[in-house]
Amino acid sequence: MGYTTTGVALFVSSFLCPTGSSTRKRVRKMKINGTVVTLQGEITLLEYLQQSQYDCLKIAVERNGEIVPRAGYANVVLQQQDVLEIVRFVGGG
Amino acid sequence: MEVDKDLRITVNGKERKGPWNTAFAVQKELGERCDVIIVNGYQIDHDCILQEGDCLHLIQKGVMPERDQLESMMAARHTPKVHERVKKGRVAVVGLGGLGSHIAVMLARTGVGHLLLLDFDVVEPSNLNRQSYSVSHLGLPKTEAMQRQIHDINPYIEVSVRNTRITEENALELLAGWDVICEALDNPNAKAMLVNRVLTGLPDVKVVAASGMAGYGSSNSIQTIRKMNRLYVCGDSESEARMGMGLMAPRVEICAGHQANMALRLLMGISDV
Repeated sequence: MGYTTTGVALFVSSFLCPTGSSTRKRVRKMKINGTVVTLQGEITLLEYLQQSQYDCLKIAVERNGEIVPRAGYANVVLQQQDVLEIVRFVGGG
Repeated sequence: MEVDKDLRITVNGKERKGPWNTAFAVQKELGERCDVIIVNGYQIDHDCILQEGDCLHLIQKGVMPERDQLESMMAARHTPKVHERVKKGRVAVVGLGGLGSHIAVMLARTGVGHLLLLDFDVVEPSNLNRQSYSVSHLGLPKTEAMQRQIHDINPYIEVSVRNTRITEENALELLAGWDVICEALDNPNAKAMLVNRVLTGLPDVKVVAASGMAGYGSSNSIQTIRKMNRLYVCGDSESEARMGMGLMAPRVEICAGHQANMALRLLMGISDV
């Protein structure tokens, strides 16, 4: 195809496939415990904690300066530029 | 024109005015038999020049001081100005085991004016490897054993106790009105519960928690980290008490020292670690 044809084909296809841009997974960069982390797609805080093998009964989480109640972990969708601090407690004292 | 050469200083907690210009001159006039001279928090062995507002303590070893001087003498070695501030401080210590018993004693020695001590347990023999109790306390509720100890160390502070287990339901009611809460529990689920409950439900309070102080690994790995705006965590974050790794006095007390010092810093208005 020549350049013009290619251009027209892409132009037309962007209308035929209006969800084209969101079929690509949105990458979200955020800071977790001081380290920049890149996550693919939408993920809740609970999913992130489970994937990272945190025991939700032994942690405290602060997101963007506010503590997240345990009951809210499943409702929070992690966003670009979020700053998370996750404290894990071990036994002894 | 006569210049008023008299110096205004404090001696053993009382304001005095006199023509002294050195510490030994004060000692000669007011405390000839005293063998300990403390100037602005530091025990001196050479004479030093005094300035307006200086704070002196003259102590004679082996002699019980007057009651109104005792409190001031007990604070004599503090960094100046600390005592006035911490006397107004309110610190709760949740758990009176290896961490909490030592935190409470240190804060009492420091002169923190109001302490709340919480525990539900009694002193038993295996506690003695690291907790601030003696054989004479065996069988006593920890709250009572601590009250007795603290009364013997510093009778000038107010100590409240609650012989009760802290739970999600009672935490806010027990801890409302306290400036700093030292988390000194041993169960990690309870630690997390307390930290979450208090940080969510008491918006002004600061929490100094602990995680990881078992064994006899390097002392240098025990740190204080400001994890959240109002949460400090002391310990190495890893050394969990478990089979094969017990809790031992040195590291436990290092961690307790971190917590007590952070509580003191917070009472002095310092939020950095």
